[in-house]
Amino acid sequence: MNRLLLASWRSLVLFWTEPIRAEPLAVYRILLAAVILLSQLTGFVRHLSTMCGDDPLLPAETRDAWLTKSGRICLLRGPINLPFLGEWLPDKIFGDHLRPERNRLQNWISDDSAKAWADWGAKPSSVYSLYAVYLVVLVCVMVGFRTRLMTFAAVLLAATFNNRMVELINGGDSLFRNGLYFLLLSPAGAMWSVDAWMKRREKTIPVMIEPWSVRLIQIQLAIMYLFTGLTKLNDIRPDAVYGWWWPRGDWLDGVALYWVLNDVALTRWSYAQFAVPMVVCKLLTWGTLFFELFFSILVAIRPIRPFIVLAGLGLHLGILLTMEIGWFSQVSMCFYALLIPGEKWVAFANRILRTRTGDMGK
Amino acid sequence: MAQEQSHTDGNSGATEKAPLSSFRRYAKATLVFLVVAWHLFFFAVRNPLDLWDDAITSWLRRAGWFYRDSDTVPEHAWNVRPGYRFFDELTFRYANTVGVEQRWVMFTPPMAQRAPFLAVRFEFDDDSTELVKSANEPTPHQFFRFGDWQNRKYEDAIMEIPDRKGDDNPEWPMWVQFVRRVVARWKAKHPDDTRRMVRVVLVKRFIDFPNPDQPSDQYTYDTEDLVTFDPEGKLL
Repeated sequence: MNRLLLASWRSLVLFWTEPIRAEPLAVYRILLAAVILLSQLTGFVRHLSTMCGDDPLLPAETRDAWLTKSGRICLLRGPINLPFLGEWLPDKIFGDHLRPERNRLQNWISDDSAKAWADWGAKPSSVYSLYAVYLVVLVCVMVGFRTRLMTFAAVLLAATFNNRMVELINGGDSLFRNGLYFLLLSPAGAMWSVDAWMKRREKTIPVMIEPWSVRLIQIQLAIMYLFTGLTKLNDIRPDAVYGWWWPRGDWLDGVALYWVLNDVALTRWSYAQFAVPMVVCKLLTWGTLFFELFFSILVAIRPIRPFIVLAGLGLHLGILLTMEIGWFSQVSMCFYALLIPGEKWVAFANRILRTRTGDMGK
Repeated sequence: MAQEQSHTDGNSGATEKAPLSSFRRYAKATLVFLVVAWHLFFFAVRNPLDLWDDAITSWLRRAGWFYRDSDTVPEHAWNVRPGYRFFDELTFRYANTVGVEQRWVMFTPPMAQRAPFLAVRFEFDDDSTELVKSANEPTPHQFFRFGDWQNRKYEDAIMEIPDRKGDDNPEWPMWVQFVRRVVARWKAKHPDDTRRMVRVVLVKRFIDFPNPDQPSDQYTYDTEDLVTFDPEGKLL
């Protein structure tokens, strides 16, 4: 028993502390920034003038109450909720405690300056300029130039534009902000980046990084699946005959995917054009539910991890193929880069770039 | 391994560096531990609260551990509410401020069996009407959709008419702007129309999906009037 506990403890310590190769994180950085950039170029770019331009559909001041209430930030709306500059230590959390101390740590910007800032952010020219900066920043994150600083800027600007046009975003946009934030905590520029190239890193030895930030991203992915799966079992009621409590509903009945594929607001084509047999709908429904509920356990088992990765990629490709729900699938697939070993990425990069073995960091 | 560790780097680079002093090493290890512990705590607290706050507080109330402000807390009772709400608000604001919002839900049951689409009905002084459907509303038995999902999201938001309508709602100008925009677009498209527009009605059009035992192209429609404006965007 003691030996088992000791082995578990040792595994846990190694999981959090044993250095790992930097390639998966580099691929994650490149893919995530590229996907966000593409999502912007095909999304917000087209709506910016209608939503935030002259006589906008989303007037700037309509954001303020919601931003203040929810603790969100938007650089186009002044210092609302920004640490130190605005009110970021609210009574709603701290009550009456430490009020003088808190007041010293917030609202450093005067009301007049805050209003001038918000007025500046309401101008279309300010929106367009800041958006151009956002796109450039995303390119910098992708190529790994001043990676940490640019990732910080990307986090701020993604929050700014997602919150400025919150009516236009979906789960993919929230997920990429999530991914960017954890990228900020990680040594994302350690490899395959301008930063690494400028430091003329020795190429013959694998670059190793501390694992904790990568582990947090992996755990975030596992949590996303777990809770998405658990909410599909939300309908828990006592059985009418036997009285025991048991989840039920469309997912357990196997009809959930039938209804999803019939949703004419979301699907790429009509179910009437390409009807999927009910037995296939049921298998896909149960397969999805099983995957989401057990991903976090199965992915931890090394021998079956490749199959779980393939199943996950298949799930997201299936969603991408059949549903028009923005960039959720593409962003989710970026996270899978961290589940593929560095050696595989090196081999893949060498094959793609047709370089000699060893040129890409082996 | 020793060679590998010499190339380990917690920041942006991975070149060999002078070893950290022991104080800095311990300070860094402590900081990393706190960051990791905070995020694990955050995941563990925020996710259940995002999804099952009501269920959790109901259960705590039944167990006698959660009292509302209006409740009389018995002597020696253990009231977890202040701590619960503190961590709820703390993790909620942290998630929203830094952008790590959780609330992972997708196709939660019961599944939607109908899809709503926004439409606008213009009413004229000669009692005639014109219905303008959303570009997102497809012919349900035959369509192909690629892109434009952000327009759908915007129209979904417009269909959510708030309880508090009018100027005392700071978000109300969003609906006013929408009405003005659709009216301007209509007038630009029909410059020769001599009718005077008197009312603009936002309409929710539902397309009901066929049940599994019905023919797959048997869609039905339903409509619901949401809110009425004058052509200038004033609420009627």
